[in-house]
Amino acid sequence: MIKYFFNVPTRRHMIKTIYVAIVLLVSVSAFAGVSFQLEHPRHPSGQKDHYIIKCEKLCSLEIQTPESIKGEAAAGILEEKLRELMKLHKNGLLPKDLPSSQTKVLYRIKLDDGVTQFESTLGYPESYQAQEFKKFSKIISLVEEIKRLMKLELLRKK
Amino acid sequence: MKILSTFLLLISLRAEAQIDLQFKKGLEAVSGQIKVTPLDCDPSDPTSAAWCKNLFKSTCEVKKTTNKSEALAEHIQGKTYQNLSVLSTPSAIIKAAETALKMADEMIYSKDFILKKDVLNTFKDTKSMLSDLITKETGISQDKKKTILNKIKKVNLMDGADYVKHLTKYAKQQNSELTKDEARMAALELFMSGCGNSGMESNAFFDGNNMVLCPGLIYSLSDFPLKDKAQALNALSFTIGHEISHSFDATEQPEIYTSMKTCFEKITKNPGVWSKNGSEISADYWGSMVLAQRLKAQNVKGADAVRTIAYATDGFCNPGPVVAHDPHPPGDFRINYILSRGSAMREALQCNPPSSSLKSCTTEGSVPK
Repeated sequence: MIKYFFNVPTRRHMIKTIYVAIVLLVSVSAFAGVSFQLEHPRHPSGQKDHYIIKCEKLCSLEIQTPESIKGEAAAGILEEKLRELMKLHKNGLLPKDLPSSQTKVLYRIKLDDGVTQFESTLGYPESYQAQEFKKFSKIISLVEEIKRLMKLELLRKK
Repeated sequence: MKILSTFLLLISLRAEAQIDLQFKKGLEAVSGQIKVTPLDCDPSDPTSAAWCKNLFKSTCEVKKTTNKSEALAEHIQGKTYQNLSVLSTPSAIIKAAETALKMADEMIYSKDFILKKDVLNTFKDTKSMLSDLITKETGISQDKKKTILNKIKKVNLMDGADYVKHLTKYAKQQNSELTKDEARMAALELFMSGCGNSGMESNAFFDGNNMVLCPGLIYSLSDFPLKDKAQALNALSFTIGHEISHSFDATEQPEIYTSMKTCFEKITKNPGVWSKNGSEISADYWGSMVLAQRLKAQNVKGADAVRTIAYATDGFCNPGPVVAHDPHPPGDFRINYILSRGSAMREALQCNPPSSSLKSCTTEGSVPK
């Protein structure tokens, strides 16, 4: 009985505390970075280009076009741009998604900062008008900047 | 301890796994949906060529012999974007983008390949061919025909410079707060999204009433061992026909494709094929009708017809990973079930006409019935 009252609950309590601490630690640190995937289908072939970034201290970059390039870059400006993109999503500043059956897809975007994830499907410019067009051109501008930064980083190191 | 370390490992892999999960799910879903088997040729014709059995396989054996398109893309990139850095100003980027676009628009054309006026004439011919095909269709009501013919009439072909000019105006109309320079920058970025920052992506798209052929798509044809200029323009007519048809595809005018929908669902034994891929299938159908008519008119037959189809379907053999919500059916389906099955195309390919074991799906249903 003495053993039960003093040892077992104490050990259980300790294990529980450690478990909770680990879960908290792991859930915070499991993915502290930000990951981005951009898919650009080409017409009429249906071939898809992919732009992939995963930032955690450093950013790994990959452009999958008919010829693929991979590399790394300092997180700084690239991660900043990705977080800016996430901010647009969090502030409801992304244009409405194109219906999935739509064929006139320009980009599919996926962004994950470890806490929030979102996916967005964008069409060509004239699918958008007025406020939606403003949102659309803002996100395109940001995406093009991210693509440019990726290319500059990768070409610089080529 | 072992359980804890496994738990830690699982958690650390979670984030990465989540990123790819959707794509993988899509891959399974899509690849599970359409299964393509090689075409069976009519056994009564023992002289059937290989492409009558499997046109997809035959077209995929046709390879590019040069790399001029990629070299030009690199040349333009080097001349325009070489001095840019992460700190470059928007005006420096605008200048680079404008120069790149001008270079691409000009450098893709030559008398040894094709001229801009050739592309424009092919576009006009394709429009008139599509109008004729619609007029002759018996399964479409007169009212519907009128609507479609009007839509075809409204389609414009734009090169990079025209499109940027048009988008600058559009951006200003939609957002009056933009200055002229901001609207121009927005337009250039929108163009780059579709055609790449040097305009050399092999892409074509339909936006509003405007069809854009990226310079890269036209020039990529020069990497094939072309017999003559006509062969390049015939190949291009498929893409032009496909893109114009998006103005009256299965999303825009679903009523005219009811019989075609039933036919494709029946021959693929897949009830979901049309809801997922109907728009692209219908655009491919009209694109292949245009190409078949041109081949017939120019007496292009057999192996020459196969080569032209291969040039027209560049990229169909290796589309990369299949993803969820992809409106494009797999390349083998597009070639073996759409392009190769029409009566006119089979005539050009010197294959037996569509048969009960090899039905062709048209707007009037299956051929033969």
